[in-house]
Amino acid sequence: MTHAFAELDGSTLFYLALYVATMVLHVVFMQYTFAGTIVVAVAAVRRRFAPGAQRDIVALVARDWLPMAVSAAITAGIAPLLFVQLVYQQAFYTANLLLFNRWMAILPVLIAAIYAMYLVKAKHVDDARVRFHRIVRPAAAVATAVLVAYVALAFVENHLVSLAPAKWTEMYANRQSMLTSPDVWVRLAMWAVASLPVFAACAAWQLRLGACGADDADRTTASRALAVIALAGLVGDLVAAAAYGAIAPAFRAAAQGEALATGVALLGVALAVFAWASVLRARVLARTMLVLAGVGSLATIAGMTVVREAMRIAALSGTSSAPHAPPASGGFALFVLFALIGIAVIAWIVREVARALARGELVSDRG
Amino acid sequence: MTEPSDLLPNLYPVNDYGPVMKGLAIGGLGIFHVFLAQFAIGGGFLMWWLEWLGQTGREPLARKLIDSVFRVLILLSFVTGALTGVGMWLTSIQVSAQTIGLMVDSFHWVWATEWIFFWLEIAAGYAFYRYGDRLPGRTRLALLGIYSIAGFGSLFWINGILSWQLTPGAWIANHDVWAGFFNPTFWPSLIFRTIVCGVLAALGAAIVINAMGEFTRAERERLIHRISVFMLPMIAMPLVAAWYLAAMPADSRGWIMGGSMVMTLFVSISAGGSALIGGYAVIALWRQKQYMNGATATLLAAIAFGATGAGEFIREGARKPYSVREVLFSNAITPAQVASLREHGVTAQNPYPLRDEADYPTAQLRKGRLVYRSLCSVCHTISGANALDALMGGWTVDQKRMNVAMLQWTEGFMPPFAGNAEELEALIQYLAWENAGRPPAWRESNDPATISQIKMWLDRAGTLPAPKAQAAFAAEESR
Ligand code: HEC
Ligand code: HEM
Repeated sequence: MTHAFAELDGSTLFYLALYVATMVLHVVFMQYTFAGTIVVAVAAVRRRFAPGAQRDIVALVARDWLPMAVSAAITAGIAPLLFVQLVYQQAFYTANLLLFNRWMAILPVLIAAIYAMYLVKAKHVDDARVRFHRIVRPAAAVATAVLVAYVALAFVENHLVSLAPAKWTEMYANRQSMLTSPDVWVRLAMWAVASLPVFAACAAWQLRLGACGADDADRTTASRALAVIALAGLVGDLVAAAAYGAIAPAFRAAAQGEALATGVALLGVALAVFAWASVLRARVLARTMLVLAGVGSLATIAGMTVVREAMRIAALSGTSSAPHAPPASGGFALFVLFALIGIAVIAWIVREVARALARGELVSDRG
Repeated sequence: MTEPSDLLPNLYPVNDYGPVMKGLAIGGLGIFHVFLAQFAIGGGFLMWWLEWLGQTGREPLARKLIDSVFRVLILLSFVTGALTGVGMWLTSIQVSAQTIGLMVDSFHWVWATEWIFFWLEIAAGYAFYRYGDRLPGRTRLALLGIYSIAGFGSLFWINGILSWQLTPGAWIANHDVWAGFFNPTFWPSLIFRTIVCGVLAALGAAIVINAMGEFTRAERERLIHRISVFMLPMIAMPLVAAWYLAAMPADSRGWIMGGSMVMTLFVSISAGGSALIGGYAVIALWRQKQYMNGATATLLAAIAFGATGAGEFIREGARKPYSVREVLFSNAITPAQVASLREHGVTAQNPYPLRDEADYPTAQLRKGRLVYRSLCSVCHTISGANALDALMGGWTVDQKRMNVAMLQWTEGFMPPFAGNAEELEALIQYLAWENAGRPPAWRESNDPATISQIKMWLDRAGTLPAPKAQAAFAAEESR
């Protein structure tokens, strides 16, 4: 057993810990977005070909909240974007430069994806224009899913390129991409399936809180749908991880090396499987089970994020791109101060809104 | 602290942008980003103020207007504003990874703090957007206040880092993050941008008011007169601009104030456009209480866009030859490295070969291309924007050798040549070969007399950048 983190000094570990913590936050919102677009696209296509189908409350919630989720994913992504540049500067920049157009494309793609999300949830046309229902909405829903998947693909490729310093020269000289490598696709599939239980856990809470005017009947229908989505994702996650381990020895080694993190991740899967199986049986979005499902998913994300770093450290140690802390710089106290103020203010906002809503109808379908 | 000597030349692969100059990429995106972000910040304050007017009964139409403007604000600023912001970052990596790396290393806690402000902005903004219609007045006002202050906060933080690039001030000596942050151009730059935020918000709101169609003519007039207050601070612009210029390094100032035609043109566009908008705001809107229709507002917004664009180009351009003044040249060479690169060469160590090696008939041409890629390509192309073909195609070969050897004398906004004499000759041959249309055969030039002549010019030029090189030379002469 090797401990990738043991070779790092305290300062590097400190920045790496901040990276991991903020990355976990990014992953939560990113996975909600990723899976949400898939759910919405599948629902829109189904509806297109089976117009009589009853309303799909899960897809409605996802569709309603996707713009917010993607904004949160982007905002959350900025912090790991900062810390990755501090700890793995050379590897991250080099990968960005080698991907070039494929990497820079994520920005126009995301802009298009977000406007497509607004189109999918456009309200005024719900009853009026048939053409919108039959063509525009499903097309926009599918486009959103494809565009968001592209962003994920670019991040996966960028990450894997950054882990392969020995290939950089050749990749540059021959304009190679990693898209022909199965690693990229299996890893992307792993992220995609792993996003399903995260989405299910968040959407379940939203429905419990009455999002999109959900009532008890909606919740009963949704409990089955969400449990199926989550369980499929959890099983798929194990299969994808096994497949990735089989083709990528580095991933296998990292998972074995960080036994604790891997154990936490697997325990998270087990917890979530238990919780969702019980939801499936009881057909209620019970509070306890949703807490368990959420904690389980968080544990999986945290464990896998640590394993992900172990894999990166192993790939880069001994090269000129080995992880290292940035030079000491003032301002940490300022950051801590504003982080505390920020958390307090956001908590206040949530409380104020919750109070106001408790007085009136719960969640509007505006926005 | 990253010492400049820690940065290696040729650390990163270089992409070819074809006819587009790299600086244009960042400048072009920068215009959109700055325009949208400043509109969003000013818009926040405008909404906040309108909400107050509405709640205190001073402006009965405020509520209706806020709901419409805020929609535009959210759609534009959340989506395009935030993403072009990330885009600026990623583009900076593409244009000069060393520069952004140095910035991130030096100011990471400032950036981390800015990140908190982003969260406040989206939390307050989204809460208002989604639930504003059902929140009590006090909470609405508070949310708009948080949104505005958070937006302004992000401008505050980034302004310190960007102005540091031009005037790092005392940071150079002590590497103290606050000395760098509150640098000599921090305040004029912040005040200038803040004024622009107000102007853009007022113009944007005027467009929305005209487009809404729900207000009567008289109501529109009243609203437009109200929001025009946000344009009045433009009166102070000339003063702030003068302050900014005074705080700038003398050579940068000289360059934009006539030293470079292009830069001077940008300054004129920026100043002329601002004068036009400011004059209209003060005289027509405020004094004469005239009505601004949608077309006028759109036209003024377009002019403001042009002026903002010119302003961003000035900001990017005025730093030359540095990307961080005194610390790092635009081509990612540090002033301290020049002397050693003169000796050992800039092509000696480069993990990234040419992608089209086979196209070059000789090793010398390949070397010349590598020199071009490392030292010139960040500011020039061969035959596109700021093309070397056009700039030196008409020169004699000796003229080329001398002017490139004495690069910082040829134009003070170029860094000193950071390679050895053989590399310089290879570069000249490569440029001539390109100029000749890349013929399949090319004679190697290896006359020792040429090399020693180039050496002499390089020695004469010195390894210091302008204007230090000239000063050192003058001091030498007078001795
Ligand atoms: C910091 C950016 C920068 C770098 C690096 C740079 N240049 Fe320039 N150079 C400029 C600008 C800006 C001009 C002005 C173009 C104009 O006047 O239109 C210029 C002008 C020139 C001119 C014309 C000068 C004249 O007065 O007519 C030549 C020749 C030239 N550059 C060669 C080079 C070569 C060769 C290199 C690489 C060794 C190089 N430059 C590196 C920015 C740069
Ligand atoms: C909805 C859009 C997005 C999706 C679907 C997405 C997806 C992903 C995925 C799948 C990864 C993991 C890659 C891997 O380990 O192989 C990742 C990592 C990351 N993402 Fe996102 N992302 C999105 C938007 C963003 C944005 C806008 C930012 C920047 C603000 C961002 C910042 C990051 C960072 C910094 C990492 C870590 C990179 C690394 O460690 O090498 N993401 N993202």
